[in-house]
Amino acid sequence: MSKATQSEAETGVTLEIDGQEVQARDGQTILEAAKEADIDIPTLCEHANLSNVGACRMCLVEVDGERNETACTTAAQDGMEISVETDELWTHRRTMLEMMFADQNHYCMYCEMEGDCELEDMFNRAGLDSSRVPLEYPDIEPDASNEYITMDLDRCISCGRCVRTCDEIVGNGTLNFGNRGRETTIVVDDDVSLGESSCVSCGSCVQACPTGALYSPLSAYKGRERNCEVETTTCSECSVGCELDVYTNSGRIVKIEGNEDGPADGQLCEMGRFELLADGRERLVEPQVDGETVSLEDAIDRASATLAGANGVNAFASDRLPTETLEAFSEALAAYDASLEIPGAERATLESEVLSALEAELDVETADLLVDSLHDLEDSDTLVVYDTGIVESHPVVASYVRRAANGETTLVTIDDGEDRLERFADHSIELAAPAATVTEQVTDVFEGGTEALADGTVEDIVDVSLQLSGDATFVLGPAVEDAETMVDIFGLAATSDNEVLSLGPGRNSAVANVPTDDLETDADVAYLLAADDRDDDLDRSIELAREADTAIVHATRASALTEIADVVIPALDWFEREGTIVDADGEDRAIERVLDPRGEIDSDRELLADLQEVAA
Amino acid sequence: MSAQAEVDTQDDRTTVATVCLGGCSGCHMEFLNVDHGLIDLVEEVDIVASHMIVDEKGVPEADVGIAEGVVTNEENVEVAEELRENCDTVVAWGDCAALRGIMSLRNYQDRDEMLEATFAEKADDESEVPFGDDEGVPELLEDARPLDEYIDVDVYVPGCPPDAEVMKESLEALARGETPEIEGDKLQYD
Repeated sequence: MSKATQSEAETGVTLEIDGQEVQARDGQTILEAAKEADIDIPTLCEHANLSNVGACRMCLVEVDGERNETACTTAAQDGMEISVETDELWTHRRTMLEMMFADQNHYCMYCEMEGDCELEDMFNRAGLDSSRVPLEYPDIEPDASNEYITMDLDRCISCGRCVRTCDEIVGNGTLNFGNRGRETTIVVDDDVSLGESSCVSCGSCVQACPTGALYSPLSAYKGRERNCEVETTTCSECSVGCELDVYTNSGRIVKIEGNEDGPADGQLCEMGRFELLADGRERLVEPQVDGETVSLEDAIDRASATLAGANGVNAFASDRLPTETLEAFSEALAAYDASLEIPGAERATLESEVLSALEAELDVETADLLVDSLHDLEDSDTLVVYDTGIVESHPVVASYVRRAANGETTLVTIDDGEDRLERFADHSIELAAPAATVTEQVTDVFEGGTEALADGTVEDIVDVSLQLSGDATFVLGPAVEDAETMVDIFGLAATSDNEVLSLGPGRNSAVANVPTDDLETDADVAYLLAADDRDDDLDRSIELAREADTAIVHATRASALTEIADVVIPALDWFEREGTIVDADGEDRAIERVLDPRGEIDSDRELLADLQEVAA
Repeated sequence: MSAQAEVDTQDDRTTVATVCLGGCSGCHMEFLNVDHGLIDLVEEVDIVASHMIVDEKGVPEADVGIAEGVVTNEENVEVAEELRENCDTVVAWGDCAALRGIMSLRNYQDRDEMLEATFAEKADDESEVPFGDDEGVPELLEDARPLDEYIDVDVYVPGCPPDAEVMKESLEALARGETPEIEGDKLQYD
């Protein structure tokens, strides 16, 4: 026996599950060992990426013929003989299921989860055809106070997946157990409705719920998950680049879920999970000139003629678009000598300049300065968040910050306004010009140790400095816009061998490589590739359209912008686009086409190439 | 026609009576979806009462008595008890009879307020709640409950409705004197 196999044998355990010999690693539970051996032990409260609590008792197994244990919480030990499929165990499971059924109000026939419900599947497996336990008919009010998440505890089995998700994955702790014993129920904060709670509407609990107790009205009754096709793509709502599993049925999107095997443990935020589905604006399908429907060719000719005859052209593109489309747009509009603005480009460009300068100056590799994985945040001794606006702009990162703060990590937040993470911060510092002041002091600390502050400065700053003794990670929010702050923070990270997660206002970090300019003040034509932009981004397009005499709008949906446009050209929606997007870590991520476009437009890029060709 | 009379007296098919309690007749409708299979089925079973198939208002004696629906009024209780008394094997058809079903949603409301809202407030000024000693409409119970809270049930076929094929197979099994095995995909709750 070689040394390697010997040591493997030493660390592994061998057990028997329903007569099958199974190898397990030390510390693995019986359930984990069974899963790896493709043995199906029934579960309800167990869920990917969550801790195990043995609440539902479905995974009861018989150990060595003498005692019953929950497989999800019992460590596999050498020589164990495990039984899963015995009549006695199924009788126990069925009894538990009957109590779950009788305790709440389960009406499968009109539940939106019917067909996808894990409880219903378990009823089937256990052969539940009646209830020997008297039915309770408790009077439970569904909570529909949150726009995107409905909580109907009529269907709740108190498995606690939502509670653990909210705590362990999202780090927010909005959902909790209230009361005890038979009265145990899910409570939101200190028993308020979801709508008025600290809920961040990320929907992670909806994804985790095994029954229909938590569901989204956006997806309800649109079709069963098992009848859907799934396409995985990258979210372009911020620069984190979460993986979206998009479920479609008959050419329509049923729901969006986070990829549980992906980098964010299945987490998404309100934008990626719900707002993408909730865009109810009318879809543009036909090109228009001066309010009249025209052919696509005529619309492009008109756009081209307008651009060619302009005294000056200001162009704007949504940074939700794939890199390839932004490049095509830049090239096409360069043919008309347009000035181009893309949100986030300024910060991204500045950042790349700062990083190149630092690379030269301090002999560091940019890649070493940037956080590789969101999990690195949790591994830091200290997290310093400059600008807590990330709670709204990059919610999934905010989850990791909260998770870290709930764990061993010391969280320092620095903001010039409302501290959105104050509840989680060990030190919350309000500073008008945050980084410069703090980092100056902190740099001293790194150079001279805490004695550098012996002469006494602002107490908060001392705190920050003291906490920075271990591995630190700096999170830069979108409000950080000045070179000085960036140099300070990246420089601090470089000299202290720490890392930075930079979250600019832009979504596609590739904008740093697309040539942009300051817009002209007296341009008479505006070309606005607004795509499916909404809110602030759309407002910027509207502002530019108003400033110009003629506005050419290239957009996905009808809005106040298309109303004031002279030429309207339809654009692809987020689920029809394909290409790449660069995330905050600088990685290329794939945007996959989820559904084929129904309209005339098959490619934004081809259309822009046509526009460029007409110019030539 | 003495030959015909002889066949009748020698009929050893399993007799089946079905009743609809507080149900929507959806289970009975689904049973008709057995379709051509009904021809084969009646080789083995004799349907002696079933409101969509046979003109028989009472609950005659039968080998198998099947009930659809929840027990929701006084008449349902009487019919259920009659079914138990007159039939050897009692089958609960559908989610209402087996597991309470959609009809028991009324349990979350006050009975009298609900009746008032349904009968008196929905029509004209003359409308009244049609209950009382001489009205001839059975009194509504306080709650709607599944069949086995009133009588012993031998076989459960849940589903809203159960699949026609499952209904047929379960009847065939009963006709053979076996207990139907309804498990896995045959068990449904929608």
